Amino acid sequence: MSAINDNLVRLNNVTKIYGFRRVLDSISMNVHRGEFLIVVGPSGSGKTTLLGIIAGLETPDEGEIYFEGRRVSDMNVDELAEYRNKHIGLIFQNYNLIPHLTALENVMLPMIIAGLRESKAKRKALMLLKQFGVGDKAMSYPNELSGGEQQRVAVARALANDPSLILADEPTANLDRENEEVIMEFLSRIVSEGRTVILVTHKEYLCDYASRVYRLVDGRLVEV
Amino acid sequence: MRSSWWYARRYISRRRRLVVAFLFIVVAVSVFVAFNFAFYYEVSYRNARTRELYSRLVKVFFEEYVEESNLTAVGELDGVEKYYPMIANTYMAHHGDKSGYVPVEFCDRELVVELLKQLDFSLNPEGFIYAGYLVALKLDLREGEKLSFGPFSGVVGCVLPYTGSLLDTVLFVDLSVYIDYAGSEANVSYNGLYIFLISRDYEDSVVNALYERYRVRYISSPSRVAEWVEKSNRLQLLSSMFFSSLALLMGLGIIILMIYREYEGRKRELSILFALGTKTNTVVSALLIPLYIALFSGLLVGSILTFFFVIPYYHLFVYGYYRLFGINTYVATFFSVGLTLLVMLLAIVLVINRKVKGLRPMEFLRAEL
Repeated sequence: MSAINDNLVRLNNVTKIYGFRRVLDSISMNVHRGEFLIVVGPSGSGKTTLLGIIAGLETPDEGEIYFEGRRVSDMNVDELAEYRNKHIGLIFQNYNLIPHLTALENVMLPMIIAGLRESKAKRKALMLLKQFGVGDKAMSYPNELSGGEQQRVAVARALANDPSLILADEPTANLDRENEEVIMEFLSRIVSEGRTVILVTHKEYLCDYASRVYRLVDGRLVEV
Repeated sequence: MRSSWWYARRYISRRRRLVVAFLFIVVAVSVFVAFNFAFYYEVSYRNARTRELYSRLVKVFFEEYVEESNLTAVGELDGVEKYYPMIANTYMAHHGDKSGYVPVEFCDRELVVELLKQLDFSLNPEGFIYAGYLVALKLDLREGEKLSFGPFSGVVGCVLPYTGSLLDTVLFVDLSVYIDYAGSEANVSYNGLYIFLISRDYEDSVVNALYERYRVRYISSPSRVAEWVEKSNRLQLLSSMFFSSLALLMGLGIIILMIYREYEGRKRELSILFALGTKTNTVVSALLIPLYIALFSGLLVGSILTFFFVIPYYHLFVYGYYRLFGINTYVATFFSVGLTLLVMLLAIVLVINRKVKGLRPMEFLRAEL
């Protein structure tokens, strides 16, 4: 496979401006398949915005994003939704589980959105929950789970539709060291299974898990 | 759509109180509007029948009692087919433990037959006391039961059929009952007249002649009744519309406020749905399905309550007695309330659609918030 074909995501001079502030300033980068890419930077440096733009949840003011060679900005609203549902798995710092759904239903949700039958979605969701060590919490609601358990459910949800790209926004920021290690191990395992992970964090020491590290400073991206 | 249902089902099962609150408001609005419309349709139906009754009838009340010999001139007036003198009074009537003020008219039995004929009823009432349908309901009267009113008492010979007109509110008593009380026919004089015209064309001339010859207190004639009916209908419609609109607006206001608060409270959840790849229409549907369910089941429950309780029992509330009234009211109410709720729903759908489309998910997914 050529290097070009290996590119899962390509950012080309992406700029995002909030008011008078250039949160992202002409950012270009290639993300290869099977990579564990970590972007480090202090709070407010534009890390979450970067992930939002890759996920198609935000639009850049300048520049282009390509996913598997297809320009994301050319996609209409429904295509963007399908792109997120089928190709992207999102993990957030504050877990963002839906409070009135059980852990099982939270994991089932992306599959139900994709049109999978309820019974099949349920089977797969249970399997994923077990895989991430929270199988016994399947019927619990998010408020009945600890932070670590909630994040495991969120990781399981991110993998529900077998996406090729996982975007993780400070996934361990609210966790203790033990749970942080567990989550990072999970993410490493996901990468070893052939998926791509882009993780943004302010914790420098997490860079040990990465295959490549970028630093985001004042909206500019520097490869470390 | 399937995913919207899946999601909405779970939402409803965990947010029952909110859905029930929606439902309750819709039911309350439906029932209140139904009550107003039931009353309006009742009044307009009664007015239409009264207008029919007075199509060629003139009813006169004199300022003072007039001897029969002074009334014979009425029969000679141009355009008068026949006339019936009567004595009209209001008495407190008693039947068992029921009692109430009732307009009583002492008259020839033939007058009752003629009046019923005007409304397409062919009936030859038995006995001496003929109770209008609503009088009978009010006093819980049946044929053969004893009734007393003022200094009189007797057995009800006939409960007149429901005519829908003002006839239903009168207690007719054969003149012979009054003559027995007065002692002799010579002692009887009259304070009113029923006049049947050959045609309505003679109305003005007869009415003018009556004013010229007698001290008239009040005359109900075809055009006057029509005018009064029109005015009464208009007022009733205005009042019903006003109170119904008020109820609908209040209901709408409360629902919109609840939806707004609901939307504001669920922005993060909707953002998560977007992040997971839910299409906008699916998000809107997931948000609206519980609302649809509450609105439609509210309308259904409201209609059932209207049909089985409001329409049959509103008389109990307004007049103090029970009566089943018409499918017209039900249909009109159902459609008025239904259409208004649908318009309301459409407005809500448009607003929610716009709001959801304008949502910026990342604002709610960021950890800082």
